[in-house]
Amino acid sequence: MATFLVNGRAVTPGRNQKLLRFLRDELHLTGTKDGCSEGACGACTVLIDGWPCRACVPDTDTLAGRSVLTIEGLSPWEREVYTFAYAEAGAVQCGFCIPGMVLCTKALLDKNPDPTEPEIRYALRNNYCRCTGYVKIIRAVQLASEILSRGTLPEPGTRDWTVGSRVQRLDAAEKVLGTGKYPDDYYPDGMLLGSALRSKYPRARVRSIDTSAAKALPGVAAVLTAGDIPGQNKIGHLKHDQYTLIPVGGLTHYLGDAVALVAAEDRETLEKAKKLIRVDYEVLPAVHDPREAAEEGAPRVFDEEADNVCAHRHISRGDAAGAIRRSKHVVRRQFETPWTEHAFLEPECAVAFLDGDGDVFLYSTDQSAHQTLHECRLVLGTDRVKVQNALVGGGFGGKEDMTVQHHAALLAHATGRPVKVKLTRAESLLVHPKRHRFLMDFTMGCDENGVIQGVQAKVVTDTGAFASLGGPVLERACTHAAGPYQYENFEIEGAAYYTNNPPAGAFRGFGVTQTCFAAETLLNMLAEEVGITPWEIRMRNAIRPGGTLPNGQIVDEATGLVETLEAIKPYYDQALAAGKPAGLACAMKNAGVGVGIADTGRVKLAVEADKKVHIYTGASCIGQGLGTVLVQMAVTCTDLEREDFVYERSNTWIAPDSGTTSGSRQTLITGEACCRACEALMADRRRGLSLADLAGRTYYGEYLAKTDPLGADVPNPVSHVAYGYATQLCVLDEKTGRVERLVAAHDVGKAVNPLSCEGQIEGGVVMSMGFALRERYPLDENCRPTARFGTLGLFRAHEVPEIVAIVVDKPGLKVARGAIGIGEITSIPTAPAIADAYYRWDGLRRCRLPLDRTLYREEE
Amino acid sequence: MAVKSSFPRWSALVACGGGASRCAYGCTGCGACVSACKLGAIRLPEGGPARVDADRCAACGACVRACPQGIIRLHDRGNPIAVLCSNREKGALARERCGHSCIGCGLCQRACGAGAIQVAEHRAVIDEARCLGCGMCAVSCPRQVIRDLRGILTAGLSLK
Repeated sequence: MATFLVNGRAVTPGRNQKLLRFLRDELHLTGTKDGCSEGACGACTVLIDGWPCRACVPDTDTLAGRSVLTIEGLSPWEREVYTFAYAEAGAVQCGFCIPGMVLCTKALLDKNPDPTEPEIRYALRNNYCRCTGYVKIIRAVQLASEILSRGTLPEPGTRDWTVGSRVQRLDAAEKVLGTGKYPDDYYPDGMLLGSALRSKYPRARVRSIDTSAAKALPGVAAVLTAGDIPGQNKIGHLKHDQYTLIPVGGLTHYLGDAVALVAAEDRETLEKAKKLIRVDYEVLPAVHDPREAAEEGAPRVFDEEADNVCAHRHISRGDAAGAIRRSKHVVRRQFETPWTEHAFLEPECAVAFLDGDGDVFLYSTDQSAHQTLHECRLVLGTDRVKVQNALVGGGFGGKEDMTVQHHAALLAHATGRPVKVKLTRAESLLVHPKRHRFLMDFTMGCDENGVIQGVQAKVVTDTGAFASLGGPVLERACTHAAGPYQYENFEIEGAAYYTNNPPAGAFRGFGVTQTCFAAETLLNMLAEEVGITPWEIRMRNAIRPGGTLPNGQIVDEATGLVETLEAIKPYYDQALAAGKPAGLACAMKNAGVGVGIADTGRVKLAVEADKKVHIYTGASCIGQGLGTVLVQMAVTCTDLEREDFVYERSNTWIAPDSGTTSGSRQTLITGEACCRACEALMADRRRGLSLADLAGRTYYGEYLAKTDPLGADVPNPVSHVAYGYATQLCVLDEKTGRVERLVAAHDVGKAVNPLSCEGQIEGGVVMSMGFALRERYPLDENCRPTARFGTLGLFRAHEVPEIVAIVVDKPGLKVARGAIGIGEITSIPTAPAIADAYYRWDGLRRCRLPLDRTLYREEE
Repeated sequence: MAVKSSFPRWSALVACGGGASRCAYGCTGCGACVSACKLGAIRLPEGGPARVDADRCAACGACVRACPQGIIRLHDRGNPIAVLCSNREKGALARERCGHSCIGCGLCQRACGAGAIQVAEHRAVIDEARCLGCGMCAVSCPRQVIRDLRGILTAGLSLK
């Protein structure tokens, strides 16, 4: 046993353990986040004797005499400085990496009060952030350095909370200081730890499960198998094909399928109990690849299905084949894009317990509390469930499906005690659905002027072990494959196959990231054949207000693709003039679910006893800043001030269901609902009533984004209520081939908060720089992912090039104050822009991601 | 005299934790590096391996060229984690010859979350470009061969 200081107080842990476990589980200093416990992510960074160290590395017994400083140990002045600097710079999104970043900042500034930018990047280089692209974190360090040397806090850049203002985010302080709670930060009294025993084989039949030895182990509170599920076993977003637990006689679909659940008093007992469960499997051949899955006589992934086809789409308008045949220039290529891991910093975690009403109450990190509610109700077979969103440490689509929530709910229901189920990082990498791997065959033809005549394409996707959102992802990939251009002849056929690989589902870009890479690359090839620049060919084909997209939709006045091209032009010309390899790509992305699916935003404003208007909406903020957006809209739509509003995190019993945080929809859909609720509130305000008079009243706003279904029998179907548009530029250093600069111009409609918009752009661009150049998610012959968090290839602070984020503010829509949403499109055109820059560099056309023969990647 | 600090901060590192031993690959205590260093940044404790005073080192590389064993290299001081062994013999032999030898057990390789360590020629080698400097390898090393040069997660350069 060793005695050391934690934030100045002497402590002596009762037993040897990792410092992280001691800080969190015993001292409940939960500002130190647990992102991987593998030494990789950096979220648990603390200072030991002034040096940044990951708390998951040292054993407490080795720390005798040391002084440990956690985020809670900052001085009051430091708290003010770092909160202000990080908030003002816009450096805080999901917030999970931030306490670690702040401590790295402090370690740097304590030794070097006036660091250069390379020194700052260097000091942050071992800490990962998946949201921000590091740009604004670096700015925050500079700002902190300035404030510390000046000795006084400056005024914030603005106190104006109306739409369009670069105001500080409302959740910055709790995220910077580590006081905001993610599910893992809850430690209710008597809490058990829960975990799933997962399948040993990707495809096997479970012959028997013997849990007797595990149940007999002291400290084990429950061992559950499929027979113990009170409600239905199979759940899922649309198709219910995700097993909560594989029953005896059932087939396993991938290595992440749960066979049994255990709840125990502590980690050691939990792991021991899992090892004591005996499962007898009949091992069967697995399906590794969608092409293999498509073969006649291929093993079937599901007993319930006739074949391995999860979804099939065929979209055709005009005569693509004929148009291509008549085209002057035709190019055709096969493309392949890999799985991508979301790598959000916060692994999946849920805490469930029985509340005072006897309901199963869940703290959850997800993209829709109401979806969690719905699926947990199905599993438990009861409506007596409540879900409260805790802070969400990043999602990017990866937290749309149930991973831990239903397991925690089951265990709490069975034991009557609070249960925390948290995935290890290895489990997280295996379990949640990834970005789909795509195999694509694209053909594009244009006339002698570079005007696109038609596109024909076939795509095959690997949707893995259950449907998740594989169908809608395929659909969006197909509807957007034509690109943001005006032409009439388009045909695409797509199929998503089940395999025994980890599931694939939603990921920022939702299938469009993949098809955009193919279509934009072909467009760049056509530009060369025609003899014009990639910029010029896009300008000639760009969709303009009033034009008709290949899907038949007539676009509105807000359409701003041309403006993004014009915004990029000076940077493009400058790069060409300097003789630098430069690549371009454009993209469009829907905001809102669209294609005829009921897509409703709902907001309830409740004037409470504190004389404040509380904003309730069942819409998850996964780090993008939804709360700030809604407050800015509310301030704009009412005569009230920022201080009059309280943003409440999503829950299921007060906040009305406002749909999943998906499809870049919350700013537009929930934003408009918020504006409508404000109108209702203002009706009372105009009658001269004060907030004190209104206490107890609620105001409801609802917005249904009405669209036409795919294939609707109308001449010009409205597939989506709005689209965002973008042009991105990649400039390489001509000598080294390193990415020197990425310029991203985005038409976001009205930018509600330009600071947040830039943050989304920078983060999205860096995320897709990984997709383009380095990120991998390899699987072995047993369908097991072999990567760890630190080997995924995520970009680090010192590797990120200059990012220029241009927010093209072109309001036009009459809803949500003209805002469109930006979440996904930031990640879409990056890869083809980078690929084209490399073509300009070495003359090699690359049709596979991550790109080969660049200095970012060792060859396999 | 401290040298002017540059960035990133590099200095010479002697990849040996044992010193005069029966190992054919470690520091023999010959003093060639001490003679080569114009800044007086290297000292040679009796019986121990040569040690570099990082604050005095200008990373000129004279000692690297002078070392007949080829075990001095320039190291980025920003990464505090380093393998202090240059052994190339099999584990059993290395264990017999030196108390601070890498025996190629591979525990570090398994502990590394960044895929930055490979055991090659019977000793651990860190790929600096991949290394996240966490020290998980250092705390897993049963031989105290991988060290945190700051002396936080493990003993620093000196075991004494």
